[in-house]
Amino acid sequence: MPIIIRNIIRFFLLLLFQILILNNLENLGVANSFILPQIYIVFILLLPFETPTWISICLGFIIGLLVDFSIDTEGLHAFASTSIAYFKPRLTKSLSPRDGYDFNSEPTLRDQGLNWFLVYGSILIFIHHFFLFFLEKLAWSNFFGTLLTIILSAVFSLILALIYQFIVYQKKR
Amino acid sequence: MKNLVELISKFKNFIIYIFFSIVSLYLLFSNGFYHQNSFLNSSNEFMGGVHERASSLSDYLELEGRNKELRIELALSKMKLSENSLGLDDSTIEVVDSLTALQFSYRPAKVINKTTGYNKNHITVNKGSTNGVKLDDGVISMGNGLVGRVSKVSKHFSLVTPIINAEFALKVSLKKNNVDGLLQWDGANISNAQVNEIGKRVNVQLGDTVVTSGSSAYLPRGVDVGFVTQIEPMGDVLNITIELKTDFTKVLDVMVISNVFRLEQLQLESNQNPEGV
Repeated sequence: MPIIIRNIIRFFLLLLFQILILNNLENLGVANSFILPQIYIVFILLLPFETPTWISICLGFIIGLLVDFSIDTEGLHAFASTSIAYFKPRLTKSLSPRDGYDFNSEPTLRDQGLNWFLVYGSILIFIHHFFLFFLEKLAWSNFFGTLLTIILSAVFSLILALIYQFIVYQKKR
Repeated sequence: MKNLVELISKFKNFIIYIFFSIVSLYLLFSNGFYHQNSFLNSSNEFMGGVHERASSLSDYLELEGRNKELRIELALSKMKLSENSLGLDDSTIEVVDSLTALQFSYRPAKVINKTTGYNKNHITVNKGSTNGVKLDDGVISMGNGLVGRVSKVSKHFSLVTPIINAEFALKVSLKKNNVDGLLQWDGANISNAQVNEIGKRVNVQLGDTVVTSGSSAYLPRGVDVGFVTQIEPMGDVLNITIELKTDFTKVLDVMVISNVFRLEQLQLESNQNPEGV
């Protein structure tokens, strides 16, 4: 499948999963207001290395804004996901192997290995969740509570990102 | 000129990033802009439709528990009917006549989307202006617990600002002595809220019931809000923490309350006191 179509499908798939399942856990019978995993940012994480930064930023803004529309968070997700789209190329540059990334390889678990993806994914996910939850609370009074929410949500988001890639890239191995 | 073009292309990404950040932070911090533009929030027709489909699945899963809840509610309502009670006091006779008029009408609605993990939480319900829902109508749960008030209405859906939204504030009173306080939420825990502005000489005990005061035009008096779980004196006032009657993790069926005479009351009050209450 051409890389561009794969990314378009991934955009809608992850967005729908976020809105219909992850933001609806309570309606589906799982009560919890503490751990809020965000899987839609995996779309930004897996954009190809060659994507121009300005396109990543625009896509990050659009996907974040769509999540905002669905749960009335008024631009919070848009800001957080725009930010990681901006930081992403800097991070991939500083994490690149000595002789650069292989031609046509993607920032995925399959192409770059588990260790690389764990470092890459957890840094970007943590930045995203940090912006999201601290901007949302805008208070340092419950600092450790917010930090705990950030860390637990980030761990769950990372696990979901790994599971997603195990399922999607399974056949090609 | 050539240098300028080079400079812009060098910082192109940064400029785009700053631009989008400003747009999203503007949405976040300009109160009202977001809510005034209905295409931006989940009460618009498209998002409302998506959430309604999604919630029909969970409806099915929750059917049994909700049936039980409704049966209990029905039984309680039946007990309140006058023909089901024995006349203990013969000196008063109840006559149904035209001297009373219905002031508050109740409309059942279903929660189709909600957030609980944020500081400004919202609830979307599946009744809108075609069903007669108006801005600022009160919303209660099936068990007569306060949920919030309507902050935005579209044709078929409405957005509710629940108690667990940092912008929510309402006059409430202690049931036993009618002392008024201000209900607010500090964002820490979705099962607790705070009642402020009650003087330290007022007799408040743990377990006291807090109800709506009825002084605002959109809710009747006596809707349960919660009960007192913690009292801390602070200066001249008491910091009271209450446990909310409504369990926001489970709220699925609600009633939207409309005050039939609200416009009349508000007009009268605004003539008297131009600053409003």
